[in-house]
Amino acid sequence: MHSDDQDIQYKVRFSTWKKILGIIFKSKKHLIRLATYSGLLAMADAAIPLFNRYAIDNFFVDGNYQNFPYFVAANLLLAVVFGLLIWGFIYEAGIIEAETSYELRRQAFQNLQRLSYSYFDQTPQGWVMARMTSDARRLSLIISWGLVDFVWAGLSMIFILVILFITNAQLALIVTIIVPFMVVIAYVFRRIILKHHRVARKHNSQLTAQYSESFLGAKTTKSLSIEEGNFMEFAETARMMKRASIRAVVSSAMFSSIIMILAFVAVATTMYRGSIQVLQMAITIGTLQMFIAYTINFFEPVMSISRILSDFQNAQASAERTVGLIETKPDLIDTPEVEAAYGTLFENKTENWEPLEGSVEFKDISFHYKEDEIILDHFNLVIAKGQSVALVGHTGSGKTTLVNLLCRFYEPRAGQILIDGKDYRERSINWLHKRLGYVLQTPHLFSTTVMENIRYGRLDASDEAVIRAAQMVGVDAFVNDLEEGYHTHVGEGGSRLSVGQKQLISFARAVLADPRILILDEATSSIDSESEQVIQEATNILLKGRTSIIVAHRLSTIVNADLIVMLDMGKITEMGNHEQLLAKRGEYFELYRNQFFKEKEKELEDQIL
Amino acid sequence: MRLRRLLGLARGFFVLFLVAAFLTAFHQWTYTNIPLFTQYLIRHLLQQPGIGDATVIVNPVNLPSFVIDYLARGTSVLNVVIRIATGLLTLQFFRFTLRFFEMSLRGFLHERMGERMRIKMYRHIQDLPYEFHNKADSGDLIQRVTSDVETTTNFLTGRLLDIVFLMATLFFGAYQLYLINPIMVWVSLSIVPLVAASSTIYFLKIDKIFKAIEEMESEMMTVIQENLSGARVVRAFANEQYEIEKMEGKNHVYTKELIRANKIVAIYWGAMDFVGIVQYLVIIAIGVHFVQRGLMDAAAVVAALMLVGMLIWPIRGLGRIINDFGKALVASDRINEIIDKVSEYQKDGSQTPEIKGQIEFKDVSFKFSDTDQHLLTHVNFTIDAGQTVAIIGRTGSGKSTIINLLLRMYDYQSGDILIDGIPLQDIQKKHIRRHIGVVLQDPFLYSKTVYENIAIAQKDADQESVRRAAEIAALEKDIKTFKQGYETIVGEKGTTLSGGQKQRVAIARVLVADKPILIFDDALSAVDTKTDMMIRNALADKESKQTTIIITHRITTAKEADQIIVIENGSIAAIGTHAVLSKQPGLYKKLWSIQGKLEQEFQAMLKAGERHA
Repeated sequence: MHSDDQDIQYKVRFSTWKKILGIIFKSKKHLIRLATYSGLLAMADAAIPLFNRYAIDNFFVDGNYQNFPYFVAANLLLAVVFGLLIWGFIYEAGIIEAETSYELRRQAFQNLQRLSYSYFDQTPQGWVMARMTSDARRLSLIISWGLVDFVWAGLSMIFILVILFITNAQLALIVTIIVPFMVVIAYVFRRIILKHHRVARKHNSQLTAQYSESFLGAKTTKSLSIEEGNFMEFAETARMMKRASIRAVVSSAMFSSIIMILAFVAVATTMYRGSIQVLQMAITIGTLQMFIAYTINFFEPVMSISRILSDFQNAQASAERTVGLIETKPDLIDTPEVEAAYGTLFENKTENWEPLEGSVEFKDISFHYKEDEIILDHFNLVIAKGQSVALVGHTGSGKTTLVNLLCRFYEPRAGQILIDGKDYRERSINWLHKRLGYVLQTPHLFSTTVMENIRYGRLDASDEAVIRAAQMVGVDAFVNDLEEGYHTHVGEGGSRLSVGQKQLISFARAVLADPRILILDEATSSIDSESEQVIQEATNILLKGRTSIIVAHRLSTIVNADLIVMLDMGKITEMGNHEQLLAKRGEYFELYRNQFFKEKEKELEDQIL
Repeated sequence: MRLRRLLGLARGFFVLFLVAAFLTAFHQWTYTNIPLFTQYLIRHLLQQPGIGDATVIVNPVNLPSFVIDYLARGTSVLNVVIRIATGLLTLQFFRFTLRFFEMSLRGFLHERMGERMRIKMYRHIQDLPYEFHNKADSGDLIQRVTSDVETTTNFLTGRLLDIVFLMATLFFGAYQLYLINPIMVWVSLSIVPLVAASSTIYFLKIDKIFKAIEEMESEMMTVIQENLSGARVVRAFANEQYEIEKMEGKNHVYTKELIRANKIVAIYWGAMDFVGIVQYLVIIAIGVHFVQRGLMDAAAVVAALMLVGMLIWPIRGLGRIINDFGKALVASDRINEIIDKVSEYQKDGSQTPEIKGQIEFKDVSFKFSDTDQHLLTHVNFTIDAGQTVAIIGRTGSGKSTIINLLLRMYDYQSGDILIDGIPLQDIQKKHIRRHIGVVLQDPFLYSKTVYENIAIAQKDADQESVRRAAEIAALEKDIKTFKQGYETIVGEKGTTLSGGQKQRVAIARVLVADKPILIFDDALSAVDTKTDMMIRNALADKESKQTTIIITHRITTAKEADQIIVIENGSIAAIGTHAVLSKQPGLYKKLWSIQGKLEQEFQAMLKAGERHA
């Protein structure tokens, strides 16, 4: 589904383009202006040879200068109009281009917010990023300029043909006959060029990947001494890319040469037939010159149209992917009844929201991500209000899945999750999210200030409230050392802070949100023992007085929990408090023993080594 | 100087470039002949009775004399017309055939130069010392080898020929127009500087504006990016609406700026078209003036009208060439900056002896050239062939530096390292690296299949030895859980492996070939204790004995070694076996006794807990 294959797609899907046209037609005012300018411009283009004909026939051949002042005035006017039209034309097309890409991004982003977490779980970030940046940009560029060029070219052809046929049908025919030949040639060549371009692009992205690999793996490459092999692979890709690019250039060179020669066949024929008519005094010299000019001018719009058509064909894949992103449906949605009572994602009816007390029950839950990999099978667990529960077990035992289900990032395939005794599907997703706290294993910071990052927990919190939350979990201690205190920018992804500091900020965020139910996914990454101590204290504060579900790794967190649930392959193998489980000398005992040594050794190494 | 270095990147393409330049100039010359055919035709028609006044024909037609002769030999009025039409067609056929070669040659030049630069950069960067890669920012490097190479080749093959094109057009156009009417040339050329100047100002300005816009775009992209990587946080706090508003703000500002910039684009091109048409009008007016006085004929005016376009139109693009020139200078500086770095093979040994595996460090000291602090001072030890040695010490004590020196990633300043008695600096770098199998702390896997990754340094390895290596590295079980088994693609674009799995692939990779020296740079610590032991046991069971160096901070791992080297602050604190070191006061003894105490502590805690329960 998310492959970046750029297989040539010739089939134009109308539903896709309909959607995109709908977006363009949002700027109706500009569209009408643009169409008007294009039409007028085509007219002005067609008028210039008429002016020249007048000048040649009257001034230069006949020596009749009577209307010269008027001619100058009219010509100046034309120049001004022409300049203005070009200005307006580019201006309006630019607006449409910018607004189309704006609208594409807006709609795509809005839909992204609507999508369930599962979408992000399954879709590579780069894929979405490319849709929202390069694809959106390319589409709006091709559409806005393509459409106006299309209008201009079409009208130009019509105007020129009308003038030609009115003036002299015989000469006009010469020009018309050659058009179908050009269309066929253009079609054939565009396909060939497109094909080579696509091959070149594919090799180009491969080339970049090989570069990147060679830089990131430099030490490994050196230590394995495989430079030669890597280089050969790279040189081959570079050669393939060169070959495809040259083929594309040569084909397009041949294409334009053939078209131009064909155009001049028409010009030469026009010269010949036109001269005969001049000799027969059927037309004037000025008319002949006009015909020659029109013949040359006529092929520009023909080529434009062929280029636009091939651009559109080229953009087909971009269009489909972007529209696909806009139209992807979320996996989880609230039922109409729930929406009626609780409001939608973007319009909450908070007046109807009941408070959350904090009891949770997993009732006969079954779940799988993929059809053939069952994660939970008739799982049951009751968590009382205010209880803290530590989930422990190996990777893949189902801890994260339980969290995902409780957060309603996914919904159980069978069974129910009851919150305060009521199936959570009977209330809105937003109701749950607004009342649930979730601290991630790897804290996610936005590239803004410390203050705003904490405020993310409750957007309407005052600065004082933010600072109070920060003080509670010990953020205050290091923030005061930062140059601009709470207004220090944390850098992209929080790059200016240490791992421990980032964790504390995400704790403060949760404290500020003050949820009744808190989900804590503890970090496994090791930090120095001093920070470990701070985090431990912060964890205790964070959990106090709330129902909490913890994917636990730290001994102290596990030991302090009211209930420890040991999971294996989606089943509860042991359950109880620390003392009870230790006494069993079972799996928990082993796990505890391992963790004990790991933590202590680490602590000692930090002290001694 | 900078210009010379920019042009230097095109070395070797001079002849091809000259041919392309000649074709370009020639093409423009043939182009200026087209209006002359029209002129000849109109003149010819005007000379016919009843159509014009033959006496007003004053301008000659400046076609080459053989063409004039050919046209003049026409037997009848119509025959001359046919000769003109076929003459023009022949010229055009000739012109566009050459044009085809010109464009193909340009494309070839561009692609060939690009390919050569890419290959050169790839090879050169690969051969740069490890120190360079250690400090380099890979995003910046990618920029240099992709967009900077593109900018440079575009300029060297495109814009440079565009200058030839521009000069040729201007020159031939002015020349032909001059022969028709000098006044027209002077009038037309008088606005060339004006157009050239405004074009230059425009392109430089618009470029600056677009740079600012790009920054806004990147801010907007950050918002999108953060919403992808932080999708869970956004949902967990139900801040979707807030994010939409945030994006709306960035999107709006960016769009507004784009439209504002486009306004300038629109004004420039509108003004240029205005100037172009006025130019025509001026030529017509001058034409009227001369025709009225019988100093010019209608045919010549028509030709002049066609020629004058050649003088202004191309100048409008001058600013772009100048702008691109500036960019190409910057880009080529960035390329040359890399090219100027010295390859690590500049200084290399020449010997390729058989490596048995004895290693001796003799009073080795090392520091980076840009600091005063020594990473290693007077390090002395000997490892016999086939021995297993553990190196233990705290982070930053110099353990990894020893390995880097042994692999000649860095060069030591004093002392000597001997391999089987031969100074390391006399041995070819690649030769020594081929004989040392090293598993790095943070190993890199290539975007290939598991199989290809294991066999990467030993392309001719048979299936059996790959499988056996995977087995020793305790990887077989993992591979079985992969859907495509050995054919699973890993690395950046493939399946993500866990840290432990990655390390075990890296271990298997060095085990495929029997290397006389094996080094595990803290590589066994990312796998759990049980797997660590399994791997070490499997290694010990192998028939061939190799020298094995294990860098570790796990004392239980170090304990088993034939020799333990304790490093503190860049020098050796102690060397010996576990039996000796665990009794001798020092770091090792401390660590060992703590290990024992931990066990006691655990037992005590258990008892306390049980009493409590």
